[in-house]
Amino acid sequence: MKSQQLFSAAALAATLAFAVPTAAQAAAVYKVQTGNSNGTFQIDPVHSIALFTIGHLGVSEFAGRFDKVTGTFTVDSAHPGRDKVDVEIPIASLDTNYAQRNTDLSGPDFFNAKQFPTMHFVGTRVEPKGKEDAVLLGKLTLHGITRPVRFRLHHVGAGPDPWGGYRSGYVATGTIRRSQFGMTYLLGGISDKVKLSLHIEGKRQ
Amino acid sequence: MPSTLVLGLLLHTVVIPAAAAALLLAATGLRFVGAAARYPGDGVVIAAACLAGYVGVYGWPASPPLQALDWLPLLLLSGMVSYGALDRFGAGRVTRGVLMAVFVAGAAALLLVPLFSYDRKPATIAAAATVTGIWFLTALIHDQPGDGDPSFGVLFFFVAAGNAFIAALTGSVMLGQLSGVLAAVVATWCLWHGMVQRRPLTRAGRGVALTLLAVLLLIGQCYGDTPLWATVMLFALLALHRAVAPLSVCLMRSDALFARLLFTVVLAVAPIATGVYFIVRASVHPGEF
Repeated sequence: MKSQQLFSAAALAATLAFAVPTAAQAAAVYKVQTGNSNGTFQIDPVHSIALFTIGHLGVSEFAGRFDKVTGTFTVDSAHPGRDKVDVEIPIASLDTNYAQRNTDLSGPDFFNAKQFPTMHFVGTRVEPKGKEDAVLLGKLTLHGITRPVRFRLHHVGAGPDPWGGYRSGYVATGTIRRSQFGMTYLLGGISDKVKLSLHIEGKRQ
Repeated sequence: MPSTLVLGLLLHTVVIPAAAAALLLAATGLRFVGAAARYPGDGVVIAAACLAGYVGVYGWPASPPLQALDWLPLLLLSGMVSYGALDRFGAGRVTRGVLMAVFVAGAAALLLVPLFSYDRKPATIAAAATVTGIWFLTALIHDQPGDGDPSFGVLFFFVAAGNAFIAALTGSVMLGQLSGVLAAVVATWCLWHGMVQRRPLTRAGRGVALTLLAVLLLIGQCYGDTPLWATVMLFALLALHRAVAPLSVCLMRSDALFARLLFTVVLAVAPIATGVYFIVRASVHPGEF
């Protein structure tokens, strides 16, 4: 009888030993939040980034990033015409994983960051394409020149954060031609087409 | 076999401007060979050949000008016309000095206003004022009547070529290329005049060449990352040339052109090579210099 009790206790302990971590793991599974994305959001620079790739010598797609993205966006799903996007990116936040190249790209040959220290995007229209996707039209000011640009927009998710706030995030992807923004140096070695990818997380105000 | 990219850079930086200068000199200068009259087209040839190189390297400037380099053709043509007019009308020394001050100040203002709309830090303003001031002083020193020293063209070539390396190493290959364009044009001029006409650069020629170099140095200083000491060193080499050229005659006990040229080359190459060495070292070991 005693040995049966001991066996039962051991079985229970073993079950718990396996069950507790499994339950904890189940609670930690990553889930996209599907909350309401309406409202005005302040971009969180710590969780937002702009990435780019550009052709190099006709053999590779070289990548770089801008680490600081600031601005706001407003979403009104009932009235898409009222949607607004305003994003500013300091050129000084450029990082290509090589200091000398950062200096070269920021200098007079390309971004000329001392004269044009920021790039600025203002969304002018959002055309919904399905539940989570849309086309974002707007004007990008880069290198002192403003041109219309078009991004594919994907809404990632929206929902409460652990600190009592409410967040929503998007990924915008598109392609620009740097020559249209007056950056024409070394077009033979560095491609004209630049693929942009803007990853934004905003906190509802 | 160099890549097509490298060949393209060499074509735009060296071949096009040198060929343009050679063609212009041949077209306009041959009738002055052996003539008593001096060849008056130095300034025009240097400006036109440099503009050909500028278009090859930078493309057509934006209209209206968008950034500092878009002003370069206008400033170069203004310099060419101004120096030509001053020579044509025989302006006095004071008048020339005042007009040169106005020109340098106006050119610097055009180039720097966009920068100062974002960056008014005292260090930025002080660097810009220093370079502008040295530009004016150097232009004034070399705006002397009559022929300059025959070795000036050679010195100028080394300074322009030195700036080509320094600019390319400190963040702007394009500014380096444009300085290379100037070096190629001046080298062509030196070969032509050394072998065919045996005349030093005229006052207008010196003025136009110096205008382009100064514009590139100012842009490199204020919009690129060229160290101030390198910019000052290059200007100083030009400014000191007037003192050094007669000294070379005394020290070498010879007024032969070869002795002057050798002395000039040694004096120019040593500091420029040292400067390039420090810049390369700083880029290899950042923070050490």
